[in-house]
Amino acid sequence: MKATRIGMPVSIYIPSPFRRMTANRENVTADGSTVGEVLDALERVYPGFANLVYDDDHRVPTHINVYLNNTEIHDLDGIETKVADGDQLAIIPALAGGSDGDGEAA
Amino acid sequence: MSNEVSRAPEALSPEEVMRYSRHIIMPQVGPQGQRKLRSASVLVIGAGGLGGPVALYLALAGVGKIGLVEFDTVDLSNLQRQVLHQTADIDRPKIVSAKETLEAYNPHVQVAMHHMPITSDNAMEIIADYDIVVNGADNFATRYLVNDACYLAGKTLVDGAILLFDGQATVYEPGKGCYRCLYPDPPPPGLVPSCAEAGVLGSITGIVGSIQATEVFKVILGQGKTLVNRLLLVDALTMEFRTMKLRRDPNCPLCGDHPTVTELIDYDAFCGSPPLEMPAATTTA
Repeated sequence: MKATRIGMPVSIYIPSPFRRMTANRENVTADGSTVGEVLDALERVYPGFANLVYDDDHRVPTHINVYLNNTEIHDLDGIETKVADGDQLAIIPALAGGSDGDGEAA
Repeated sequence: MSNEVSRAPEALSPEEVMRYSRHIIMPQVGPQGQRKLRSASVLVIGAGGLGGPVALYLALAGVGKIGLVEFDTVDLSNLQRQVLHQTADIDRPKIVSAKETLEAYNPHVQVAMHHMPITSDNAMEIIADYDIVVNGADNFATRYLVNDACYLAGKTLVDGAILLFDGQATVYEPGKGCYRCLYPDPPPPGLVPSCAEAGVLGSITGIVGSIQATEVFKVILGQGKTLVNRLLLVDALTMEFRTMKLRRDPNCPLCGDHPTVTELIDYDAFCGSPPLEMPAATTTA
């Protein structure tokens, strides 16, 4: 059966801490009409990816920011935010490194 | 609110004019800007990967007082990236080797040592003595603590973080957004690895630390457009820099319209992390 496209192709930037889930690719593409659909599509291509960006209640946890064209989606409509062809998503986790990992500075 | 340093101290000595001539010759600095740098006091949290290059460039530039908060000792595994410490410093207190290195680079600067972990009990007292705070902490509990203390004390916070090949940097001015606006809650313990667990490219500390030092200079000099309301993302593997919008969240528990965090809290409990072991605390200049 021929696959049916359900939305616009969107480019997603993957930072290095998450890149192990995308075969070390820093930019991937997925289809969807909303941010949530794009993230779900990513999970189909890269099984396990959803475990990084969703909590147990299928919400994006607050230590991860998802940016649509440089604006965090909580400032838009969350994962219901509509996406358009050519939009760019970025999934950015909080980082704590600065000192050593066992004390004060990474 | 701006923390731009506006004091106008006495004239520069001939030696200072020569030492800082490449700065003074720039119209954005000049003799007045150099005197602002000399009058400035900057607190650096951590004398490790990020704090090292930050403190180094602050010292080279003649920032008058540099405070260091650090309680750790130098480990062999630090020397891949931590520029203030050398092989002979292994097992010595980082804060001592950091002070020696900074003063060797520039004897004009005063290096104040806070040989202790920063905690809810001492943060406000330590921060009160400084114009600007720079964050080079390696754990989430300290990051939220420093964020809250800086907001409550009305201090500008120059923030930076690193992991693997990635870095992040921004500037928080009180009332224009804070770390809690960016990341309201810490990740569950163990979910985001530390540099010790996942690794970090040594030179990314230099990139992000230099960016943090640059932001400090801009704040002191009142020049340029700082990273306030912007999160800078550095990807060293692709060598691409991105900036994301960062806004004050009206619902932020610290700096929002109806704050619920009005004093420092138990950040180990907030982050679900075990408390740090406390060595004996000393503060010296």
